[in-house]
Amino acid sequence: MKKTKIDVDLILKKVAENTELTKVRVQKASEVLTDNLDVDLAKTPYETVYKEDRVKLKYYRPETIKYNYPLLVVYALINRETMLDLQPGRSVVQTFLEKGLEVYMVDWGYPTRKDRFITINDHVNGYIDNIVDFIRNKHNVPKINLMGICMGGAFSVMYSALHPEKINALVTTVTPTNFDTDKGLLHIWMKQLDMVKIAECYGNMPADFMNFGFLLLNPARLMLDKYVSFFENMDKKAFVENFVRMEKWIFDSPDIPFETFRQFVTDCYQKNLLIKNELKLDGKSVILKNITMPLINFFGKFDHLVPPEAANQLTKHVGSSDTEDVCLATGHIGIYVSSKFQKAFAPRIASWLKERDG
Amino acid sequence: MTQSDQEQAFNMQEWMQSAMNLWKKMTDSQQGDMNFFQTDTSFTGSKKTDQYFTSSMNMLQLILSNLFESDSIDATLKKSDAISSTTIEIFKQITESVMEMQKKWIERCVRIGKETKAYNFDDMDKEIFTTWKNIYEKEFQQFFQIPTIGLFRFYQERINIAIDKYNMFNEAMSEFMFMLYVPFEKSIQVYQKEVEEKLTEGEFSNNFKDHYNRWIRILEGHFMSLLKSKEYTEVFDQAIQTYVQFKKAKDDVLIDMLQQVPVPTNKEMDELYKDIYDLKQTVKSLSKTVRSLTSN
Repeated sequence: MKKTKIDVDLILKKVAENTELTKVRVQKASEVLTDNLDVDLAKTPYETVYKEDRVKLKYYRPETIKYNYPLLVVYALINRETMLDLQPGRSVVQTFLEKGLEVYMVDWGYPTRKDRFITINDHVNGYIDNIVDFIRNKHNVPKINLMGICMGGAFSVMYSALHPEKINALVTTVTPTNFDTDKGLLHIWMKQLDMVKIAECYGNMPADFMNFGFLLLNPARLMLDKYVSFFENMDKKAFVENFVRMEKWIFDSPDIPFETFRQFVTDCYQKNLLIKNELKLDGKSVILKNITMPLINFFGKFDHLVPPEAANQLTKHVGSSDTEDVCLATGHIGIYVSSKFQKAFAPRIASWLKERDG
Repeated sequence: MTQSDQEQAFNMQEWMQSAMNLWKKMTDSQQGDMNFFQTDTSFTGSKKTDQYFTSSMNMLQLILSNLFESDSIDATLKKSDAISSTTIEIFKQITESVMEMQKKWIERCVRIGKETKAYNFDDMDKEIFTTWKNIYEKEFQQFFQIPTIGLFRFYQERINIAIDKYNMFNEAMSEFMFMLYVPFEKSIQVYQKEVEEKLTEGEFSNNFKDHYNRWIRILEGHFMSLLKSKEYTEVFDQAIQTYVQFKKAKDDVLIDMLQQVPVPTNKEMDELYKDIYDLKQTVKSLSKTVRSLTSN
């Protein structure tokens, strides 16, 4: 077998070229990084219309209201709802406003140690129910539209099953409802690792621990390659701004109240009670067949946190005859922020709701 | 008795006689001969102290009288020898114990070397962590579990537990970090083989980025295999559990310390938070009831 010789001269020439390019890039990057960068998130104007404990309700008003029922967005307790309004051109909120939909969004705030006893029931039958009643009274409507994201989606499912008379249409996005799968590492770890003990000894589940866990889901990409990519593009202002915005969002994580975390891990991840209609809140069973309103269920084909297997069972278990599953070829966050899915996601929800606006 | 012993006995007898005279005078003076020492009612200012002093003097006189006898002097000198021997014996015992302890520690250190040597360091695997853990649990951990006694036993016990848990956590964390390093090592090995094959096939790229992209893909693959493995989950879980145990033990020590300063501990605050939570629940429920009653 003939062996190819390595062209050492060519390699050295390339190294010299790369060194020169890197030098130029670093010089330019220093100008970019010291420039006035636009890295603010969530710039769409809103009004805080309701407050309860640490929880706030944001109201986004469109120029022209074209829907009868306003939309309430319930975000997860992990990370922040600012992801839906990351930047102009990549903002789910802005898309809804452009379509004439009034948007209310729950800001769960930053739980402290005093919130450690707050349960799932307090979130669902407490905060969410109070907020829904507030919106219904304000708009003088019997029902509103509800959209849940990830863990907030699971809360929305629980709420819709317990209070179906108050919900016109339900939108679930990357929402785990079937936890009996080993597809995602998160599902494996939540069953095999005793994360509740960490939350217990800290008072709440610390955000830094969760972020570290998320980074460990793909260390090669999230702890190494991502920053190599940043180094390669740090001379481009737009890239740096987008990158920093995303970094700000990712690491802006509130802690999760201990009792809520404990219940979610044991009742959902470990016992899979929600999909089995065995979950109880305030002594009442959460029966999915009670979800009789229209339901559209989005999930990501490459979602490593909530794999399709964890999200695609819901429509089969609800009582509604108007259901739809939408699988997008992207990941957990890509659904909301990827420029590729800006047309396939938010505009589709807006048109689906319009068709059911009664 | 040798001449030297006889001289020693004589000197001792003389010293004891003079001491006897001195203390006798002092005792007599307190009985009333030396008026400048005494008050109207008492020599020392307190009758009880006078009695104690007198009693002590009598006891001293008795001892000195006894020692004054030449036979006793000889015996006392022998006793003083015995006291010196005892002291030396005690020191000897302590030194021997320290030496024995040192010997045992050295033996343990040598054992560590032997245990690790049995494994191939060229192909180091996680067995070394298990070995170290076993040695720690067998040879060292017991020192932190020695029963503590006395008034501060609980504080000392909590400090010992915290040190022990810290050692356990360090061991588990080292193993966990080692596991995270393994994919890097393996991916480089795999990529080296690939490069050799590419060279043979004449497909070697001169673009550094191509090499990086290929290596990061291999690294990602190795991480995925590792993260899904049972071994990784076990080691990860062990790191979490030992950390939790260490944090709890450390917090217990800190709570002990905080008791001395005017700040509430987490335990105290949690009790308060629970009360606030329960009260809030009651108020919210009552408010809802009132609202529904007034709206009707």
